[in-house]
This record gives sequence, C-alpha cells and structure tokens, in this order.
Amino acid sequence: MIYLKDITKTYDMGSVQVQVLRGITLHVAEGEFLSIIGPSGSGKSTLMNMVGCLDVPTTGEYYLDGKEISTYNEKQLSKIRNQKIGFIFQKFNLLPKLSALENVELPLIYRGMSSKERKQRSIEALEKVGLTDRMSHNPTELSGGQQQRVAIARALAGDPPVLLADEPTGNLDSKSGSDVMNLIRQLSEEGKTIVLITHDTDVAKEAKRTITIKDGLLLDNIIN
Amino acid sequence: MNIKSVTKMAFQSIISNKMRTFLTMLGIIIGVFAVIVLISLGQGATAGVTDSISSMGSNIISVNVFDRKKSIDFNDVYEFEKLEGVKNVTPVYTSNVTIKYELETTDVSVTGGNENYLSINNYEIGSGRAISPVDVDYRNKIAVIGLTTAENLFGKDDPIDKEISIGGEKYTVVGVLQDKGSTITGDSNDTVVVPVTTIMRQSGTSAVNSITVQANSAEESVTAKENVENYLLDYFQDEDSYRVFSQDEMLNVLNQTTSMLTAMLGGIAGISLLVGGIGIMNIMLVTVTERTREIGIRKAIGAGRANILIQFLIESSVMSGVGGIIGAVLGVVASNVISNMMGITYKINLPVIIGAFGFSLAVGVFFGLYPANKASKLKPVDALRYE
Ligand SMILES: Nc1ncnc2c1ncn2[C@@H]1O[C@H](COP(=O)(O)OP(=O)(O)OP(=O)(O)O)[C@@H](O)[C@H]1O
Ligand SMILES: [Mg+2]
Repeated sequence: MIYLKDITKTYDMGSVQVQVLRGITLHVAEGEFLSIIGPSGSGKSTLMNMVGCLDVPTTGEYYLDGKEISTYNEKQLSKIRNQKIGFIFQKFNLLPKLSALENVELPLIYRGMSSKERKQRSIEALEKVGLTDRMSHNPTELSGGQQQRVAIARALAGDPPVLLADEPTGNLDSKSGSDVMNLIRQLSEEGKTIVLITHDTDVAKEAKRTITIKDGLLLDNIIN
Repeated sequence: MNIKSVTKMAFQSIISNKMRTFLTMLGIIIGVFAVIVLISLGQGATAGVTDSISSMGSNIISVNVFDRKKSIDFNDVYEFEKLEGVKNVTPVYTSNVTIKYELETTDVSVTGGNENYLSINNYEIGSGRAISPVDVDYRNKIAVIGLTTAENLFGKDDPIDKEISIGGEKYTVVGVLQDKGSTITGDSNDTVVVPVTTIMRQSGTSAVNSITVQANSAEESVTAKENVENYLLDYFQDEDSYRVFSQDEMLNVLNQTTSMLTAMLGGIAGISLLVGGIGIMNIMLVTVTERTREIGIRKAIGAGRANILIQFLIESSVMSGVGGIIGAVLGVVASNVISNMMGITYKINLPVIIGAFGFSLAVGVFFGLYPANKASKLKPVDALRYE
C-alpha cells in the first residue's frame, strides 16, 4: 500500500541545511496497523507529512497503491489527500466556525459530492464515533475528546483506505485517549491501513508493528 | 466542488466578521455612490443648461460688438434684415438699473429690443400687449415685464397701466409675459423689456450692445450666419471687432464644457472606487494571513489550489458586489433628493449605474486576485504549522 524508498528531507535554513530525514525505506502493507515512536524532533511528523502528501521529499521515491507519487503536481496531490488519505492531528484541526457536521462534510464538498449524499455519509461517520447528538455544535462547544472524534469522523467520511494519526491522544486525558484508541483499533479491524505516531509505548503496542525513528533514521522494527 | 458550496463558505466567513466586512465595503459603497451622484448631477446640470439655451428660441444667431472706434447704430441693424436667410432682427441694449413702484424697488437688467425681440426670444404675452413698431419709432416709455418682476413690484395687483420708474424715468407697464419657467442660468421671469430706442436715449448712447438675428429655419441658419459674418467683416474690416454665435455653437461649447466637467467628476469618483478596491485588497491580505491555518486544514483534507483561489475571490467579489449595490441604491436616492433641491431635472441613468456597479465588481475581483492567489499557493505543511 505504502512504499517509501530512500526518502530524505532537507530543510534549507539559509546559511545551514538541516537534514531531517536521512534515507528512510519503509513498507506498509494494505490493512496493516503501524506505529511510529521516537524522540521529539527525530522527524516522525516530517515523515508522516510525506506519507500524507502534505509535503514532498527532497530525494527518494514514494509509491502509494503502486503509483509513483513524488512526481505528482499540486492538483494531483490534493486529489490523493482527498480520496486516499484521512488525517488525524494532535491538535484536531477542526474549523472553529463550522459545526461538527459541516466539518465532517468538508472533504466531501471538495470531492464534489451532492449535498444530500454528503449529509448522509457525514451523519454515518458521526454515528460511528458516537457523536450524532452533537452534530450542530461548534468545536468550541465540544470537549477535547469529542473534538478528536469529530476529526476522526471527518477522516472517515470520505472512506479513504489510509488513516494517518499524528499523536491523536497527545492532547487528551487518559479516558478520552483510550476512547480514541478503541476507535482506531476498531478501524484497523475493519481493514483500514493505519499509521500512528505516538510517544506512549503502551499506545504503540496496540499496533501490529512498531518502528522507531531517531535522528532521521529508521532504528527499530518490532513486531508486537 | 460546486460553486454553490464555495459561495456558501464565502458568505459564512464574510458574515462571521460583520464589522470588518462593513468597513471594507464602505470604501466601495462611497466610491459607487460618488460616481453615480456626481455623474447624474453633472448630466442633470448639462441638460439644464441645454434647455435654457434652447428656450432662448430656435435658429438664433447673436452678434456682439467689441470695436471701440466704430459701432453699430440702431439703424444699421436693419441692414441685417436684408441678408439672405434672415427672417427677423432685433437690436439689443441691456442695462442694469433699479426699478421702483411706489415703495417697492427691485434690481433687474432692463433689456431694450424692438417689436421682434419678444418673439425671437420665445416670450409670449400673458396679459396686456407687446412692444409695437410705433413704440420703437416714437421712443414710447412703455415696458413689458416678467411674472417674477410683476410679483416683486406689484404683489397681487394688476400691473397693467401702472407707472414704474426705470432708472429714474417714468414708464407705463403695458404687458406681462407668460410664465417661461426657470433654468440653470436663472429665472427667465425676472425681466423687463422696453423699446430699445427709449432706453438707448435714456442712457445717452447710439450704439447697441448686441444684435439678435433669427434665421428663416434651422437649415438656413448656416447661410444666415455666413452672410452676417461677411457683412460684419465688410463693415468693421477686422475680425476681432465682433463675435457671431449661433445657438448650435453655444450648445456645442457648453455641452463640451459640461461633459468634460462631468467626466472629470466621474473620474475623481472613480479614483475613490479604486481606493476602495485597495481597501479590499488590504483586508483580504490580512484575512489570508489570519486564516493560514484554516487554509492548511482545508488543503490537508483535499482542497486544491483552485478551491482556495475561488473561495477567496468570491469573498472579495461578494464584498465589492454587495458594496456596489448598496452604493448604487444610495447614489440613486441621493441624486433624486439633491436634484430636487437644486431644481435640476434628474433622470435615472442606467448605464452609469450598471457601469459603476460593474466597475466595483471588477475592482473586487482584481484586488482580490493577489490575496487569493497568495492563499492558494500556501504549502499545506507550512500552513498547518502556522499558529
Ligand atoms: N519547515 C521546517 N523548517 C525547518 N526545520 C523544520 C521544519 N519542519 C520541521 N523541521 C525540523 O525538523 C525536525 C523534525 O521535526 P518533526 O516535526 O518531524 O519532529 P517530530 O519527530 O514529529 O517531533 P515531535 O515528537 O516533537 O512531534 C525538527 O528539528 C524540526 O525543527
Ligand atoms: Mg511531531
């Protein structure tokens, strides 16, 4: 499903060049649940952004579903983000002025779906995360756990094959965190390909496989 | 991605910041308002001037004499009547004097003319009689007065056969003119007409100020004018001694002046529209910076460059468009009120309204383009990182 080959990422900081990823090769099979751990600043999010097509590698090849992505233009990449990938962020990243339902609908709007179908699928996604009673609330009127569940519903609404979660429990208390992890485990069982970044080794163990990144290099590869 | 959803998004974010939206629109509102009011009033004034010249009578050619050594006397005037294409001629002698009746006084310019003066200038007698050839021949001390003058001097009384004092000499009022309305150049009803011979003798002059020539028809006025000019050149031997104006020419000169003025006013107002556009650009740029994170989120879940570009463009054009509509409505209302107050005829000028609105919309699109493009070019990672 996901195949990264010798990926490097270098940030040009004017006088100095910072190499954040220094040649990462990684394969994630379809339906696999992979967790990534590593110290802060090691390049986890950078790698994840690459996988999620939010950023492009400096060198290396990226195959998604067998297609070479690194040569795609901005328009093609936005389509991939819209259809193939669901993003779950540590900071939820909901639009504050839209209701929960409108937030979930957003990716479907960009897909050009009719308003009726959009609404139906969004409600289904909100049902799945157990928030049908909060549909018309704005994010500011929701708890952190509820906001993250709305964000998960948004990632699910378009039914993408790949879910990328960058420290999804990082801003949550342990109860909400375990709710979110239960949801993610359930999605994995339903066949989604999931990549999860975490600092919590217990959370990391939920995945079938855990990789460790340090200083931009792949260090460990443990089957749990 | 359908336009309806993007338009809805644009409206949502415009409404979410009402005060800022209003202030941004204010620039456009004032711009469109100014364009419509200034052009409408300019055109109204032009129409007023044109009307007042037209009301002087048709086929009119006026001759003014400037020569100091040689002058045109009363009798010379009748030489013009012999010229081809000329129908009627009247000498004109104007002097500003004080007019008295009992205790009432009024300052009016008294015009001396012959029996043709009233008809050439499109005056009609309302009551009493007009100036006759006999009055001119015998230098009778009679006067025909306008409605306003009559009211000023006599109030509700009948002026006919009353004696008034014009510059200290007694005249008998023999006629009152019909209402001729007022124009931008003044009240046509505030006038006193006397036999030209009478007023010239009173002033101790034998030279007329000007001569008004009426051509047989509009078509023949060109020939008539040529003949008048030839005669004058022959008489004075100097082109600078006299000036011949046909009504057409006067209209042209005036129309040119006023339409230039209107264009200038419209241009100045147009600049204010442009400034309003810059206001929109400024706010849109601030908005783009403020909403960097939102743009990042939208891109992360699949918005393409085009989606973001269109969203921001619609936001700026909705602001300028709505501002344009408000400005147009206010402009039309204000033009009506002002023209009523100034006594100008005002017609709703659809091309100007549509033009001003269209221009405001174009301004919104044009000045929205740069911020929208900037927003659409943001890289998703950078935008998401933005706090
Ligand atoms: N746009 C950028 N410009 C310059 N340096 C950057 C940029 N983005 C990331 N970096 C640097 O790359 C390194 C890796 O960052 P990254 O966010 O991937 O770390 P991380 O492993 O996700 O850390 P954390 O666990 O704290 O989230 C950091 O040193 C960071 O400063
Ligand atoms: Mg990170």
